[in-house]
Amino acid sequence: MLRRDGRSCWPGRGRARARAQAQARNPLSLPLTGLSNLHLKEEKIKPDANGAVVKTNANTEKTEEDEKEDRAAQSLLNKLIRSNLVDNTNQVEVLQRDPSSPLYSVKSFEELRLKPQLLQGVYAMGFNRPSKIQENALPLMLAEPPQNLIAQSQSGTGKTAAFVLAVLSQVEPANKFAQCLCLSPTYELALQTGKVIEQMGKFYPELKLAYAVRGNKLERGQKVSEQIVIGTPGTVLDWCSKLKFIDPKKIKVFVLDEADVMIATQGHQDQSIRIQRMLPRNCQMLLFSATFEDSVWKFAQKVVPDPNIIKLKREEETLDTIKQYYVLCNNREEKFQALCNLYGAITIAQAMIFCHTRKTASWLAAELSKEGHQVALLSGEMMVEQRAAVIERFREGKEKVLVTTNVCARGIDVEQVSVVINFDLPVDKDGNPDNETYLHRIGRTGRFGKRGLAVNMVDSKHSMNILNRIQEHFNKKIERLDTDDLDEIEKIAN
Amino acid sequence: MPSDGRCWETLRALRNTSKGRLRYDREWLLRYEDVLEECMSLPKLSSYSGWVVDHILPNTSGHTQESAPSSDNSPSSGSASGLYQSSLLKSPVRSSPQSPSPSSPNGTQSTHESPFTEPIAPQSSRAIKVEGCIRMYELAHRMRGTEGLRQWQEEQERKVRALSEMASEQLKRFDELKELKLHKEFQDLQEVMEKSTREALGHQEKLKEEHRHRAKILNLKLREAEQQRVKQAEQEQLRKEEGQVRLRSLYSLQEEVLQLNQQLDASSQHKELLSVDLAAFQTRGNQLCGLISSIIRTTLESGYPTAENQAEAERALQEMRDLLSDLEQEITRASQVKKKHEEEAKVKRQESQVQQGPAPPTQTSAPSPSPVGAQNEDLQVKVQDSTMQWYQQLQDASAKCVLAFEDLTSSKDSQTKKIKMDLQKAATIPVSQISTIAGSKLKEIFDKIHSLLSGKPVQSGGRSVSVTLNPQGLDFVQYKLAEKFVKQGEEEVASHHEAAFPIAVVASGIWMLHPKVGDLILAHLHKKCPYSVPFYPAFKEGMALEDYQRMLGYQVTDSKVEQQDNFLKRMSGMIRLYAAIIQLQWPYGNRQEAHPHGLNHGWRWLAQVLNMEPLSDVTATLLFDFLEVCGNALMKQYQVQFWKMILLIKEDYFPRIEAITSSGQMGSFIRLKQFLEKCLQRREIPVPRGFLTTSFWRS
Repeated sequence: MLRRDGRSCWPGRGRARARAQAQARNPLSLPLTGLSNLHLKEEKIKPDANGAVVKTNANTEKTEEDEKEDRAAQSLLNKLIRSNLVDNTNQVEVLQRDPSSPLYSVKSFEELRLKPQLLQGVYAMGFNRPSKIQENALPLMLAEPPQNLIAQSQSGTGKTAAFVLAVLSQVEPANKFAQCLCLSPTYELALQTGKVIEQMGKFYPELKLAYAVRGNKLERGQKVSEQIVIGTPGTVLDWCSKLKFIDPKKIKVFVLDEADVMIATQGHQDQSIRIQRMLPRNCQMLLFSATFEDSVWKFAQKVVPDPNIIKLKREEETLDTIKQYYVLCNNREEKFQALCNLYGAITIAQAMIFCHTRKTASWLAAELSKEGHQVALLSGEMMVEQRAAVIERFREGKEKVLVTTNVCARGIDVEQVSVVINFDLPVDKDGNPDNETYLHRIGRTGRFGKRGLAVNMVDSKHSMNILNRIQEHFNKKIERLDTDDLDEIEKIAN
Repeated sequence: MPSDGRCWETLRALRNTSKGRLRYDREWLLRYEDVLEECMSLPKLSSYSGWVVDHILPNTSGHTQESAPSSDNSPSSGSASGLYQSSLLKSPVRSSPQSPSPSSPNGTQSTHESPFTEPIAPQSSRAIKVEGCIRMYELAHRMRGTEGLRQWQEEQERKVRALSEMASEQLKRFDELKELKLHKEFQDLQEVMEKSTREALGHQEKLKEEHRHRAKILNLKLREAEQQRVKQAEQEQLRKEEGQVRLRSLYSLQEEVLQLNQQLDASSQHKELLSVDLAAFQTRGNQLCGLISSIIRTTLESGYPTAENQAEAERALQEMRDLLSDLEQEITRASQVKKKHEEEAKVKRQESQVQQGPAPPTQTSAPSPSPVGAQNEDLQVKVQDSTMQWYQQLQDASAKCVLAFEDLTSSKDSQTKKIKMDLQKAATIPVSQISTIAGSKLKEIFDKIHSLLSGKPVQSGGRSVSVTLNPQGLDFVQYKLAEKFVKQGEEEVASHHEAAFPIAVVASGIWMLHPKVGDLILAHLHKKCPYSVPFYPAFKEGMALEDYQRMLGYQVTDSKVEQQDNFLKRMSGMIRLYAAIIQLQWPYGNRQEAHPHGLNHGWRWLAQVLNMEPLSDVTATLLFDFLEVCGNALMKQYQVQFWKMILLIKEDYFPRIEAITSSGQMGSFIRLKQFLEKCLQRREIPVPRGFLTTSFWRS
């Protein structure tokens, strides 16, 4: 009986415990599950947030680096390939520090009353008359007492020659210490500017130039005896403060070139300002920049007190010196045939042909080579040095035709380019006409005062539509050209 | 029944326990007298008797039967019942709080049943008691267990409920937390979006404002510009008309000055009869001609002449007139002096004749020898006639050639048109392919052109082309080819000086093998660049201004004259090409043959240019280009004579150029001056940059 009682009790007790445990587990597991879910959600959210943040940072850094590199590369490319003046038809706007003083521009170098050696140097470089920027900038730069200046100017438009004239006019060659400072954002740009100084000062044998760039080591305790110093901000700052190669109190002219490239590097901006602070109050200060965003303006105003300002007006380059035509084709073979007819009818010194894709560019280059043309092929994945080398060969006339894609339209100024051909019309990612690229493309001809010719090849209704929209945008008529009539084509060239 | 068996087994097991094996003590009675009190007294029924009878009595008979075989073990059973009794005594105390209600009805029933119980023997009563105790204990225990179980279950349920509530609460908290977090994130996102929207709106507002402002400004500017444009158009029209009038007047003045200068030249013929030196008059006359030319060049460059320009020209004309008048007076005075001298001589002759009578003829001839005339030092304003005749012959030949292929060019037949197109492409495209890339490439181009001119088929545009396709094909190809060489110089060499040499060497080679092409090259060159003759076109009465400008070489489009720098560049390009052609010889040809148009023409050109009055900006530019390109070659060929020429330029020609060069045109003169001074200093003219080296021909 006792056993029976025990048996009857134990199973019940076990069941109750099991049930209790089960019930206990359920609420226990619920919170765990909930915690787990919440935790998982948190993890999902946090990695997203972190990832997003990280990606954002990465994107930002990459963008900034790319932009900085692009600007410096662009300026270097411009300086490398531009050995002649660009005849800029843009209007120039001059804002004087003292509105009451008379404003005038010069039409000849003789009016500037330069030293004879300087005048000889200017003419020896091939200049006949001042360019547009020089007309207004030179009187301001060479005024007595010296005037401070902030000027907007593209690379290769004669501003280097202009400020080099100012520098050379101020220098006293008999004094064997640094009297003029020029800052460039990069080593390569500094070398390019130095070349101009050496050319311009060719008839001044006692004039010497020192390069304050990385790799140029001087003995400690030594003083710079060259009259002109050109370099990068970091090295120049070291030479002025830490190493004391230069006495900043004796500087008479301070030039800050390519300011828009300069401020892309934070260190450069700070270094430039610190150098400026060391200079004497009566030092003449000149600043040049291709663009004038707000950041450039702030920087410029910090560096240059009481400036005269020369600014390019916002209007784009006029297209008046360029004749524009279009040709109707059906496919790329017909386009090539039209291209051959153009060569047969008009005299082409050298030509630039723009294609939309690398594939088309390669095909076209091959076809032209087959016909006996000397063809250069330029595309975006090339390094800056490679691009400069290709453009240099093109400029030397070793290759007479340059076939290229969109990315290279800007900045190539080769004087003997008499024809630009849009084998494919410029469009953006969305398939809309890219007016700015079109402007830059056809702007490769008609430079240096010469008349240019631009031919657009239309191969579909879509292309024709794009051309029409380009016409509307620039409000400039683009005539049709029949490439089967060589006589008609010959007329447009005369 | 089986359960009953097991119970007995239990009892047997109990008996085997240590307590079960206890022995009977014989002396117990003496020690424990009170123990027997209960046995000696009358038995009483306990309060549980009724319960036992009610519940167990039907089974008692079974137990009784089983207890009968075990009567031998009565001492053991007695001790066992004692134990049970002891338990029973304890159990009522434990269960007392629960038993009162069931106890009462049991008591009542036991009263009714008491007579049946008393007659039972004490042994069976005890057994029944024990059994009852055991059963009661079992029941109580079961009830206790059940109660405990229920309590435990309740407790567990309570726990479960509590835990469940706790978990539920916790879940709520988590849910709230999650919701809060989501809400916060949503709020943050919304805030960011709102901020972005606000920024965008602000930016948009700013842009709109800026756009409005800019539109307003542009409208004002546009209106102002329109007014200015209208005003400027009117002013420009007036200025243009005035300018044209003045320009025609200037040209008339120039013509008159030139005519007067010619009169000066005519008058100078008299000087052979006179002993007076009249070179100063001619020098001044030439200077005045140069001055007028300079004024015209300047006005062409700047657009239209001003009143000052005209006044200056008129003053020059007046001075020329005065000069002529002075010259005539001088001549008259000289004649009178001569006449007087003659009379005196006559008188002397008569006197001596009287004295010496027989020898008058001999003495008469002695006093009147002719004086040696001074050297003619003046410069001309135009090239000599033989050169002009040569120029005209070339132009006539070119025109004749055009007539020769007129049928081909004017034909409407599509087949003929196609042939013409193919021939033109075959003739011109190779010239545009000439580059400095490699000598072998240059040879390919030359061979292609040579084959075409020789009547062989060549590949062009994927087709085979030959001049034999049409009877006039050869003339057409020759003309187009020659034209292309000159145009390539005008277009390419103008902006890339080094390109002159590869183009020139091909042209020179073709010239050697196909002389007619050479003549056509010269014709085209002279047409486009008269300074290559050298020939300075003069303005003729009634000639349109634009036509005159075109004769000078300017490009005129829509009444706009090209800029001076551009004009100079094109002329430079063609002069450089010419200078390169006359010195280069195709290396793969017969070197023994003389150049069809060699360096002797370079000498001729240089001499003729220096024999004419310089033109402002043009002469300096072209002299520099010419000397830079073929100065080295001329130096090697003409040696001392060449250096004499250079010295002549430096000492006599530079002052003339400087006299007519105004500010703003100094660049070309200074470059020329620098170049020559450097060459004289080094006693050498360097090989021009871009000159084709032997390594080029090997590449």
